Amino acid sequence: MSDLVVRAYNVGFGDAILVSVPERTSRGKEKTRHLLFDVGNLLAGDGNDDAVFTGVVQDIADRTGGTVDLYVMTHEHLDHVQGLLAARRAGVDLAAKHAWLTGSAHPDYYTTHPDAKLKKRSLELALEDAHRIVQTAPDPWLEMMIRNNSTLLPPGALGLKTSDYVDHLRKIAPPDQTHYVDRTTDLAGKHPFSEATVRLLAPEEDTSSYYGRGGPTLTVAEADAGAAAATASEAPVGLSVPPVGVDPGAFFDLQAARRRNTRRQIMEIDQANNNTSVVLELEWRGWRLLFAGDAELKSWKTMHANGLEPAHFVKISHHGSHNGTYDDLFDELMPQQSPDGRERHALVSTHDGDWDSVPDADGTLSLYRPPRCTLHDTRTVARGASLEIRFAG
Amino acid sequence: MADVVAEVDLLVQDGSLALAETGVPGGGAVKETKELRLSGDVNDRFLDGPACRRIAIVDFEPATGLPSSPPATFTPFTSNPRSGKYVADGDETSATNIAINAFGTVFQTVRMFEGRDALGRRVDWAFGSEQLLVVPRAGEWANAFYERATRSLQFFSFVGESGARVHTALSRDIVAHECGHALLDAVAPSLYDSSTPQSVAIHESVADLVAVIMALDSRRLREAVLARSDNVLAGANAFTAIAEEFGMARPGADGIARHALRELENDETLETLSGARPHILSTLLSAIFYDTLNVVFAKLFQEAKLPDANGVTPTPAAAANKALGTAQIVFRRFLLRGIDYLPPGELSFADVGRATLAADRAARPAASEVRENFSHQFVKRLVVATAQELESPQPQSLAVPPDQVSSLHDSDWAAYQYATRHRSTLGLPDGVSFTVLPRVDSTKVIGAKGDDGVAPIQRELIVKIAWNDTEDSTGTVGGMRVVPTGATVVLKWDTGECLALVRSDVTGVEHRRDRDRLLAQLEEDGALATHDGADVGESVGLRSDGDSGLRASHRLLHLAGWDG
Ligand SMILES: [Zn+2]
Repeated sequence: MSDLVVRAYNVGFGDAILVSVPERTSRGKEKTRHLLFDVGNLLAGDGNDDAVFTGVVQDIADRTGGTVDLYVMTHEHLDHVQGLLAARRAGVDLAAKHAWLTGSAHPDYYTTHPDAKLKKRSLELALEDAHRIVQTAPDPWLEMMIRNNSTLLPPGALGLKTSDYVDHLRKIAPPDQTHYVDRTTDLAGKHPFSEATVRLLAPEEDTSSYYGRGGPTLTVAEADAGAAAATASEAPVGLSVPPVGVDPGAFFDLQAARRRNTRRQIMEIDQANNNTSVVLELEWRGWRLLFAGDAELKSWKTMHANGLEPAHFVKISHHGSHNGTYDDLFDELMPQQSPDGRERHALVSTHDGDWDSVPDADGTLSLYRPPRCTLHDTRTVARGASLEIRFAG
Repeated sequence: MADVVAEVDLLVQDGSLALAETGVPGGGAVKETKELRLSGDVNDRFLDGPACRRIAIVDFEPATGLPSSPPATFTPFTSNPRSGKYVADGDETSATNIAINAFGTVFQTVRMFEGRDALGRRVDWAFGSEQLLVVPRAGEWANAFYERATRSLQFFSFVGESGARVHTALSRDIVAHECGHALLDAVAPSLYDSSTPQSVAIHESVADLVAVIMALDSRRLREAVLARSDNVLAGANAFTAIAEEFGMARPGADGIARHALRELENDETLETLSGARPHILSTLLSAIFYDTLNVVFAKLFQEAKLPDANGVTPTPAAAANKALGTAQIVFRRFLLRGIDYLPPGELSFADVGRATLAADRAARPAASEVRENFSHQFVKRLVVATAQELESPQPQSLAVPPDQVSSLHDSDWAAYQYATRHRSTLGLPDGVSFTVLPRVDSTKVIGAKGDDGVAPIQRELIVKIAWNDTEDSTGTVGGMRVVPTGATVVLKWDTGECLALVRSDVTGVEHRRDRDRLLAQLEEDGALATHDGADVGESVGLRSDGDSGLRASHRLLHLAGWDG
């Protein structure tokens, strides 16, 4: 009997995870279904490396015959979406029989969800504010955050064309087998599995709750409607000295605080996007595997409220950042003792040197240790190579 | 030297509402011409912006978010070039008009607060420098706030339900409210970082009441409201409904359009609001004060309806307007002087009651009727069990010889000696270290003008002593919590006699329980700042690892989604 194999590629800071699931067909034979999560990395430091995708996607294509059975785009962050188009541009194509994209990536999502639309407008304004700030003064962290979240912007906004990456994923499977999914989606007929069962724990249908309280943006909605692309290349200028009679210290402090506010907004947006991650639970021959995308605390809390069950495998959320694992819920997910005595595994796909606190080695990663589980880490294999985790059938 | 004056036209109310319904001619935006007056400071002047020494407009271009040139120009009079006008243009929502309106309303609110009919002294901003920045077009948000860290009031704009853009800087209520926060922070800075829900709520309540006073300050608005409400203040009207336009433009969480942000007239008690968040909790204290205003007005109205010395009986409208004009002055003295007597540290509603009663008694020992009604409200609304709990002593052991009053004001050494000598009277626990705050010298009008046209005044020395209590806190944070507390002593400047001793009482078990609950709510909502990524200096959080008291909890008042 064949094993189920989880194969995680080292693509730098990002995810590329191929799950090969052997299934018995009705004629008693065995056929392997391939489930691919994401493929992308972040444009920062040497964590960004588009060249890596050529080899990685070639390897996936070789293993799957050029077509995966189900492709899942967990959420619209650059480090999860950009690999397949990058590889295609380098001449390596990969198709899918079914594709699931997170619900809010639906082209019409914001017309059917007015609350989310308001949040999105404020998100766009904040990204434009941030873009203006990095034009005035270099700020690598902010620049990276803008790019990471820019796939939600209209094509050409801020001079970027990152929406192309998601557009490509919208087309890798036939239109009638491309689905925008959330926790409430009826999955029957939308996936290839006959023996394995799949369940979605997240995201919520209405993502506006992930966007939290919202906050101020520096620019107002109609003042720059449609102007984003036009202003992208030229840095606008404001007063460089305070007006006569205005306390200079207070004047400069105020502007610094406005910039900090934008950074805080962008961070919240980034977290909200993470929370739109598709979280998929796969059950196969008594094994329960949980692929958590980049879900953060807010999503975990909701999943907990809906019922979380212990897993034999966890794809650690958000590259091992401390807000990708909800410590209080950890025992629920991975009790001290394995409930059925089976072995357990965890996977972190991450990279050093891109973010201050990611991965959180002393906190989050230290939870995923024996006797609870064996931790697998993409940093232990060479760039472009993969590691394997096997589950016996 | 003559006062320096700037003429401005200010909106009477939220641009288009209240007055339009009352039939006041003009329908849309009703403006009043006001003279902004800089008295007695030869170094101060009006500049483009508008700006003066203590208040300055800083405007940002809505399309870019970058600072722009002063939107309003000061046009000097030829006769007296230090005085002049800020001339508005024809566009209600132009940068110029928004800036003038925000500046003028802030200016008048500060002047009202510091006038002899209120504190009777100039306050120092809590942020330690001289100028408060006013940002009339801060960006996109259905909100406005005072922020100590940036020394600013910030007013945002948003698209309302009707599709029209609402500029919060054009709302007299909102501007006065935010300015009220800045002024209260100047007088009672320890409230900014408080952990007690009532303490946070006091800020909101005082800010709302400052907005009411500024509304009452408009003669035209007084007339209009009295006309609409048939000469009674009870019932919903322009004064109880703070920020009408704002409330109408933005529906409540339940999808029902709120009439305004908060109704000040209500029947809430501390029991009905048990567990409520600070925003809502504030309406209880506001209602107590608003009821007091009603009582003052009703009494003055009865008197004003009587025939005058010549046997002429005034019309009800004239009597009502006269009564309300006087009532608002009595009310501002009552409220704001109480603020000046607040002990340092965290405070409860009962502490506000005690300070208010003590301040009123100090200025008007004989007139006890308003005080009795006010105390009764605290009992009725279950803030205290009996009116006696609101009484504060005037221990004459705290008196000093008249010739020592000024050294107590000027000399830290003398002040610390004084506090040490009176430790037990002040309620200072043994062995606890304390701080004597800079002393306040205030001169207040304490009665109506006499035949000579001169109103009686009283000069007071206000001494505040602060110390820390500690307690264990619960919640996932746990650990120790510092609860700042203190006492206020007020001496009559001329005689040295003790006018009041007001001590706070927030160390009780019910306040501790409320602090634990607030902390738990914040944790549950994820509203406490964490340390990843961006700067957390201006966010609500814990004071330190060793102190689970809150820092910047004032921000809760303008955290969208936390006002529920
Ligand atoms: Zn407020």
